[in-house]
This record gives sequence, C-alpha cells and structure tokens, in this order.
Amino acid sequence: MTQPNTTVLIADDHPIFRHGLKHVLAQIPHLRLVAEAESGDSALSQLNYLKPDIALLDLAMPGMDGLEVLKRARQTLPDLKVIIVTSYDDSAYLDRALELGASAYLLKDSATDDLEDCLQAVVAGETYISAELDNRALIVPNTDSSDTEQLALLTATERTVLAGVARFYTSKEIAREMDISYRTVQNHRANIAVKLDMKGRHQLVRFARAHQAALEQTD
Amino acid sequence: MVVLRTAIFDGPRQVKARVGAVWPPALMLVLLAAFSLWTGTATAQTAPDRDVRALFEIAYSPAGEVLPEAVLAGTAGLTFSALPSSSGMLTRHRQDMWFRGTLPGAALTSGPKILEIPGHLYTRVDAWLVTPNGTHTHQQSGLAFPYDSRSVKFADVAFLLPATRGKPLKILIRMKDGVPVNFAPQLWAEDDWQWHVINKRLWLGLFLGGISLLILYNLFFGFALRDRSYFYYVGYIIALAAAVLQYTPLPAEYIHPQGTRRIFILYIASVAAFFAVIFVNNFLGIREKSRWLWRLSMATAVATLLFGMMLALRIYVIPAFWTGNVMHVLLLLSACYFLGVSFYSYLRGVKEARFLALSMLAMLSGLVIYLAYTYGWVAYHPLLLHAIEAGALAEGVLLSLALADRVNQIREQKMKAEEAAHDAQVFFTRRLLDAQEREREKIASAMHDSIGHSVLVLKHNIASLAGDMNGTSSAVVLRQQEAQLQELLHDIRGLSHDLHPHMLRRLGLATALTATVERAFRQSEIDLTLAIDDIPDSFPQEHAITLYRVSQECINNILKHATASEVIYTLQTIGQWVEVQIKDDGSGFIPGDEQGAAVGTGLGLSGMRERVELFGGEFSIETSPMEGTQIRFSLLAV
Repeated sequence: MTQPNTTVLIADDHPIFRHGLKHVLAQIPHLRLVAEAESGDSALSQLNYLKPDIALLDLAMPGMDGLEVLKRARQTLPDLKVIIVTSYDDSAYLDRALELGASAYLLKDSATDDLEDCLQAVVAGETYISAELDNRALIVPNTDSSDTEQLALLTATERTVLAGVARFYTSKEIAREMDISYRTVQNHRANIAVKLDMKGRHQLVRFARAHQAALEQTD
Repeated sequence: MVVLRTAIFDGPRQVKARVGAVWPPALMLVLLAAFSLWTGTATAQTAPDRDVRALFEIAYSPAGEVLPEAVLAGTAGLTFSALPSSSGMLTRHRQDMWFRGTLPGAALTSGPKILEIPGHLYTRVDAWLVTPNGTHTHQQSGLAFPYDSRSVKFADVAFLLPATRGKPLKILIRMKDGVPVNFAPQLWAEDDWQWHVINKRLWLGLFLGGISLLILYNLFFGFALRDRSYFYYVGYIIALAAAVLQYTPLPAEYIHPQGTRRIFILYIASVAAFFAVIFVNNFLGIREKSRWLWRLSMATAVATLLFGMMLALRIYVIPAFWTGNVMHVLLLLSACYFLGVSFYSYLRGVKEARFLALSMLAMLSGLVIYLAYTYGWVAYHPLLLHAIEAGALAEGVLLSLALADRVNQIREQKMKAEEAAHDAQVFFTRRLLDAQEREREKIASAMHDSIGHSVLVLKHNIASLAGDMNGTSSAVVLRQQEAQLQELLHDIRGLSHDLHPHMLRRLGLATALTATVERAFRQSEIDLTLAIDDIPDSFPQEHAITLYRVSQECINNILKHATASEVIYTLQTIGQWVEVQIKDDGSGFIPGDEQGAAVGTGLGLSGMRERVELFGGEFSIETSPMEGTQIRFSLLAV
C-alpha cells in the first residue's frame, strides 16, 4: 500500500471542493495533508518551501493556473508528483498536462470516487487518467522512416487523390478534378488510410502535406 | 456587436477616392510655356535689316496747326532732327509728331513691302509715300481708322509700300495723339509678313483657347461645388481677356471693323478690376476678417466700375482728360489691393493665398514689360508686345491653381478630420471588443467554477445519499436527480465555453482552435479535415481572439446553414500573416443574399469581415449556390 507519511498539498480556489478532497484524503492511511492553497502563486511558494511528495492542482485558479504551477514546479522539484484535478474534460488539457510531466489527470466529476485509486497509482509511479478521458488518449502520429516505401504502396489514382488532399481539396473538388464520382474518391481515401495504417483524416492530411512534393511529381 | 457594425468603416474608401484638382491647370501652365516658347521664337526671328528706325527723323508741330501738304512741300518750317538711338519716349503734350525718312531703292526692289509701326495704342496714323517722280499717295491706319479700309490687315499700324524698281521712296508719317509713342518701324518682306501674321494668330488662338478652357473648367467646379468664388473668377477672367484682346487686331477684325475708341479698353479693365476685388475678397474671406477693409475695397471696385461705365458712355463728371487718369489710378489701386491682401494673407498663414499673389505678380509683370516698350524704356522686340497676353493667361492659370489648391486644402483638412474620427472609432471599437471579451471571460469562469462546482458538489451529495438509501424507491428518484444535475453541469460548461474559450489563454490559439473545431464537428456527420500550422509567438492576443471568434462563427454557419458533408479547416503561417481557410462542400449561397439568413445569428458575414478588418486583416469569401463556400481571412502576426 502507500508508503508511510506521504505528504500532500491541495491547491484549489473552491473551499467546498477542497473540503471534500480533505475529507477523502483523511480516510486514506499514511497520507498527510501538509498544505492548502487558494491560488497558484500560494501553491508554488508552499511547494518550494514544504517540498511535499504529491500536489493536487486545480487547473483553473486565479492568477497562475494549475498548468503554470506544474511547469514551474517541474524546474525546481523534479521528484514532485502532480495530480491535475479539474472539471475540464478536454483532451487538449490532458495532453498539455502530460506533456508538462503531470502524473495524473483527475476529473472532478468523479474525483471523490477515484482519488484513492489515483493516489495509489501515482505513488506506485504509474500514470493515472480519469476513465472518461482515457479512451481518448493522444494518438501519437505515425512518423515511420519508411514513408517513401509507404508511398510506393499506393496506386497512381490513390496518389492523385492524396495530392488533392495535400492541397486541401474537398472530396467533391477532387472528384470534379479527376472526373470520377464522389463515392469513388471516398473509397480511395478509405483505402489509402488502410494501406498507410492511419486513423482519422488529420493523419492523412498531415501525411499528404509532408509528401506533397513527391505526390505532385508522380502526378 | 450589432451596435458596433453600423457603418463605421466608410473612412478608407473615401481616402481612396481622393482626386487631385490641381493637375489640369498645372498641366496647362506647362503646355502654355512650351507653346509660347515655340511661337515666341518663331516670331522673334528678326532680320537685322528689318528695323528702319535709323532712317527716320522727327519734328513736332502744335496739334492740328500744320498741314501735311506744307510739310511735304517743305514749306511748314519744321526742323527735323535725328531720332534718339533705339528707344525713348517721343510724345509731347498737345503736339503732332512728324516722322520723315527715305527708304533706299535697294530695299524696295523685289515686290511690295510692309512698313509696320508696332504698338497697340495709336488711334490715328497717316502716311504719305512720295515716289521719285514726285507723286504722293496717302494711307491711313490706327484704331480709329476703319479696319476694312486699311491697306494691311491684322496689324495695329502698317502701310503697304509699292515696289519702286530700285528707286528710293520718301515717307512722311504723322501721329496725332498724346499717347505714348515708341517709334520702331519695321520693314517686312511680304513672305515674312505672312508668317508673322500666322504666328500672331497662332498665339492669339492659344491665348483664347487657354482662357476658354479655364472658364469651362472653373464653371464646372463652380456648379459642382456651389462655390461663388469660381463665378467671380470666371467674370474676372472674361473681363481680363476682353481687355487684353483690345490690344490685338482681333476686335477690329471681327467686332467693330468701323474702328473703335481707345478708351473702351479702360471700361473693360474696370469690369475686370471689379470682379478681381470681389474674387479676392470672397476667396480670402475678407468680409469676415476685416469689415472696414472689405467696405473700402468694395467701394473702390464700384467706383472703378462706375468710372469705366461713364467713360464708355461719354459722361464726364470731371474733365475728360482727368477721367482717364483717375481710371488708371483706380485700376492700379485694385491691382495693388489684390496683391497686398494676398501677400499679407499668405504671410499670416493662409496657404491658399500663395497662388493669388503669384498670379497678380505675373499679370503686373506682363503689363510692366508691355509698358516698358510702349513708353520707350526698352528697344523693340516682337515678344514685348505679347507680354500682356502672356501675363493675363498666366494669371488665369495661376488663379485657377489657387482655386484648385484651396479645394485640395479643404479636402485635406476634411480627410484628416475623417481619418482622426475613423482612428478614434477603430480605437473605441477595439477597446469595446476587448472589454466585451474580458467581461465574457469573467462570466464564463464564474459559471464554470463557482456555479459548476456548486452543482458538482450537489451532485456528489445526492450520489452519496442515493448510495446510503440503496435499494429504496427514493434512491431511484435521487439517481434521476443526479443524472439531471450531470446534464445541467454539462450545459453550464458548454455555455461557459461558448462565452469564452478558456483554453485560448491557457493552451494557446492552435490548441484551443483544434479542440473547439473538433468538438464542434464531433456530433455531426461532417467529415472534418484540420491542418493547423504553428502560430508564431508574436501573434497578438487580440488577433488570436479575433481569429478564434471568426472561425467559431464560420463553423456555426456551416453547421446551421451549409448542409455540407466535408469541411476543410486550415491555418497557415505565410510570411508575416496567419491565414485561415475554411472550405465546405455545402449548399453555398448567392453573395450578398446571405444577410437575411444571418440576421440575429452572431456576427454575420459583414460582421466577420469588419472584425477582421478592424485589426488590419483581410477577409474574402468565394461562394455560389451548390458550389460550396470558401472563406479566407488573414491577420498580421506582429
């Protein structure tokens, strides 16, 4: 279970919510709440002074927000483990928090239920993400070095379609240009995505843009 | 936003419509200079032996007391003496002048010749030509002599000399008036004379054409701008041109071939002076600036006009001799007033007065040059006699410039004021938008945090209550309440996000845009392609908000109206610009026809355009029914 006397800081500008978190924390053994902060600035100075093991940071706080505190604390406190506690379920925040080195991203909607699991995971050195967000985790773009080989997989028509994609043409525009039907273009796009092992249209565009020169040549 | 959109941005369009009114008269000035140089040099080709002044002697007799026959017979007892060198005023009060000379036979061998006595003012000049066999012929010329009867046309004073087959010809010339006389007889071969006349006609044509153009040009402006100054100008120019024309053979040729009176010039000049004074007073606003100066000048102008009229009608309230002199003084006064008040105004900072002063200087210079010959201060040169027309034309052009210049000055002031007002409005609108965004941010964060948190806590409480009562019917009701609270929470967060994009400040524009655009299309059937470049750090925050808001509006429009199946959103950094392109394959619309659909729903197309242009950006839209819509806008990255 948790190591003895893991120290915790809570930073949230909402007293009721802070109170709720405190209530949950008090029921977890070997955890000691050492500080509470109502703002980002206060949180950062207390972190630097008290050097707790874990910080629960609200994302939206007056003045410095949770992400900013996370960013700054990272520079001086490499061992600090940060749990972002927020009501924002946008994956963009999640991405940024993980990018900045947060150990967990906990949604307030389920915080009281999940806090214990979350803390256990974090203490064990794992990354914890609220279940609502976990399935939308960042898709790392496919940046294989074998791009040119991948291009070779495509037929001439598919390359022409992809060249159109690179030029930000809509499927209808590509269809008009190639004098084929809209459906056919859609099929080509689907086939290209399968061949290149890509999920979603953004990856396709990114790939097409990256190889625009090559595609235009074979055109 | 609806209030902000009301026709604020007309400023730049008016600035572009700026047209210079100065160039037509300025162009004319250049053409005039070039053309007069050409005709001038053509006229000025003086043959060295043309001037025959040295062959003549002069004698005086009391006015009207000596008969020409006596002089011809040598019985009049006149003593002839040589003329002073090349110039000099010859007139003496109440005396007739007699000029006697003998042209050598060599000068008269080939065909008839023309003897011209240049000068515009001579009223009556008689010439007697004595052939070697003793017979003499009599010719008359001058303003008072009927034009039809003159032996040489299109000249002020000129006589036709017969060929003498190598024999010398004696000539006696009588001048009867008291007008100033600078005697510079010119002997022209007939061919040369024809060219001389053609050049003179060309020059006068240029003069009249120029004056006509000026009149039409300024009449047009007078009617267009409803400014009386232009009409006074036209009155002045017409009178001035008419006065100047009296110094040419044109009126005798076309208007009064039976001869005219010299004094008529003064009458027309008085009309010119009258208009000149009214013009300058009106132009410079003398009436408002100095009441007494205005009264004095107007009194002088009216007096000048009355005197001129009396001269024309031969009404003499003072002795006839003095009337002319008083007239001259009055005319001079008007010119001095014009010049003085223009100079003074210019020195006092009225920029428009510069051309006024210059124009009167040009006119007076022309007059002075002309008089310098007439009074015998300088020797004869063909150009000297046309200085007066050149001066008048230059004055007309320069005054026209003054009027055009004034329009420009007024327009410039107006434009400056409009630009300032426009700048102020842009500044105010930006401030307002900024305040609006701040206010929205405040409300959005209050909704999201304070209200959102309270609802969240409430939901948790109800959830734990439901847990406590598990299995009872109340628990079912509580679970329903909890679900409703979850929905409420979702609504509050959505509303908060629409009010202000919380991600914009925290995660930056690119991330916020990506999240917002993806979220917007997540629930729809539309295929979204999103390609967002890195945005430079220098991209100003207010540009970021503008870009975000306009993007949001475009997407809302697509979701609401376009019935699209595919949307491509791209953001590219091109040089100093961040450019967004939003393309859909939806229903499109007829440009200009979308207002009805967009009223009340956010910014609308014109609102988007205005918002982008407010921050110096560019906005364009390409669409037609069934062809989809492509909106492109860009904002500076610095």
